[in-house]
Amino acid sequence: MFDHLTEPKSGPRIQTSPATVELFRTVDQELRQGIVSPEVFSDPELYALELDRIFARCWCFVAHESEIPMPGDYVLRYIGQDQFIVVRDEDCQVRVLFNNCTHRGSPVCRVEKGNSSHFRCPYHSWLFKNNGEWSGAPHRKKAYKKLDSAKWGLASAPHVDSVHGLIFASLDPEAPTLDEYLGGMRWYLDALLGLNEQGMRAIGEPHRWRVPANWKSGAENFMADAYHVPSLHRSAEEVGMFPGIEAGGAGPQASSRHVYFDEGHGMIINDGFLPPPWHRSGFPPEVADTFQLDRLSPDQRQFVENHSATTFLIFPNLGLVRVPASPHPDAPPTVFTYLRQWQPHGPSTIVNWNWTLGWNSASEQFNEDAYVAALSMHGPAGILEQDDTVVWGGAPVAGRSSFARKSGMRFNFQLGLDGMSDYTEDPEWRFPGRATTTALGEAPQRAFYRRWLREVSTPDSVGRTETEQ
Amino acid sequence: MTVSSTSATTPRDIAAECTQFLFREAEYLDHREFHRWLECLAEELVYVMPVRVTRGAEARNLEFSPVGFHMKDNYASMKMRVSRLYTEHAYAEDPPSRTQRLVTNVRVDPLHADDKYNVRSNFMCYRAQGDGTDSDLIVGERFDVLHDTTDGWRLAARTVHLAHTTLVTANLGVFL
Repeated sequence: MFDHLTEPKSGPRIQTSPATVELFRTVDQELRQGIVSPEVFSDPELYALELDRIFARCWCFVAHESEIPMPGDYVLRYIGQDQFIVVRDEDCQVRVLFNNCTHRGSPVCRVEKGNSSHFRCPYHSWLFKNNGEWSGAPHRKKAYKKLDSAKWGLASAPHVDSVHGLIFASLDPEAPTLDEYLGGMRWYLDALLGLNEQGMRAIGEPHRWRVPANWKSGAENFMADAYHVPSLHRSAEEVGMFPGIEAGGAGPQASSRHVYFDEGHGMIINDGFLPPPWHRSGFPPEVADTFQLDRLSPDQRQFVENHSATTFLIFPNLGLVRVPASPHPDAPPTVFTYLRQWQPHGPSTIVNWNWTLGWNSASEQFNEDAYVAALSMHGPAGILEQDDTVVWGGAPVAGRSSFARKSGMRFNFQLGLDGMSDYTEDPEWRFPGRATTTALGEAPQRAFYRRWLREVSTPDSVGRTETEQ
Repeated sequence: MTVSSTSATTPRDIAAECTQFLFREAEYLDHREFHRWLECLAEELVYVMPVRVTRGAEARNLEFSPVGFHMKDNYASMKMRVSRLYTEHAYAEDPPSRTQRLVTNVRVDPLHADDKYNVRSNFMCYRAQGDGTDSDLIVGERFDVLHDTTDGWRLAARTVHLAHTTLVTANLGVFL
């Protein structure tokens, strides 16, 4: 009786309104001119499409392997706004299980971190093994004589894989492999996180804090925005925490550059933070001496011995920041590594997730010093990062504005476009990705929004190369 | 900070003095008298705010993480944070937060050192900025060590247990 309402079986689950298709066309044309409509940061239909076509499609970071080292260890995590149990099953395989019972949808796990062989729904006591399989229910022999138990396990992510301890999941059955997805970023992950056999571990539980912002603002900032550092974070220099802050920016005194990929991944690269004896990889000798650079290819080794990354973005929403820090102006500098994720919570709200990584090869003292120093500068109480949380909220506000829409207001992404600034592609760069001569540009951000547009305008049911334009 | 001097004949009411200390501290912070607040801190200050995580019955003692912290500060880092608030570029506090701290349920117990006291209290901190009507309500419990020095009471240690797992405020730009 509802036949007249059904969508064609092969068609997209979420329909796109004519207004949104028009917005796609506008964004496509305007990105070439380096301008972006504020609605990209606020439109509810776009946001629904992002959840469907970006977060439920791309490879998303869910946990660090060191958070769940033993069989049965689990943590609760999000992909988009969906909650998953990230669990190491009895065979040590990592599973990403949808935390809603297949009987009535009740959450089967109500603890954020723990160890369990099974998850039992409180409603009717349906029971699931920690690999997601249906494992039983009360009065099973009388109540479920014909139940095909193989069909009623917890829904799980079709693809889970990890690289250097970082666990990613993709909810798209047709997803490429993680290596294919990462593309050239995989090469840099070796050079940033795979510097020795012992690897890195997450220290403590991740920070989580709610911030008024669209998730893309965090992503594009970490991807490439060196330009904002001496402006927004000026107070860090004034209190002696970031001497010579211009060097960390994008102006003439800076030594940074961009490396980015058309897939929307990218990073800010420099040539070492601190003078010798600090290693160019950004670490003091006591840590750099534990690196086993013979694990790397000759090119990767060349990179590590000459460059370091300040921040990176892996599309859509995993960031890294690795910079010098100290807990107060009189303390010697150290260096920390944060993994950052901007979890969408509506078009204009994010929950920041932040993991501190320490080197297993480093002393407890080094990792502790780095942890404490990082808290002073980054994270929810960090004096730099506090300021980021009050500037990103403006984009969705403009996006909701009638005046902005009627007057045709646009955001400017023209830095480095067509000779606008001292910024060109560096033909000498011999490593993966497109490198630029300086960081005084926004080419990576434009690549990010182009990837965003490709994904958000492409329904699941059509080839990835076609769009609704 | 000094509290009203006690005469030699009147026995001191330590619990009242500790409570007054906490009330005065809240006043300095709400009134943005950060230099005076800094004077309340002992130079050996140990200030921590552990990350809170929902744990199962077998691990309730780990609900406040022993290894994960939102803040891990000492006197020097607090001094740095205060000096930042007096720069022109502390944008998280521009415009400044309008805060109102309510400090209640004060409990005072002596420590083995006879000039130090365990002081526990509950707090609610209302925070709003600008002309908006949105506000944050930051809630928690504090476990302090107050030191009765010759110069007056000083905060020697503080552990802040927030009522929040995910923080409900955009940054920890206000002192708790």
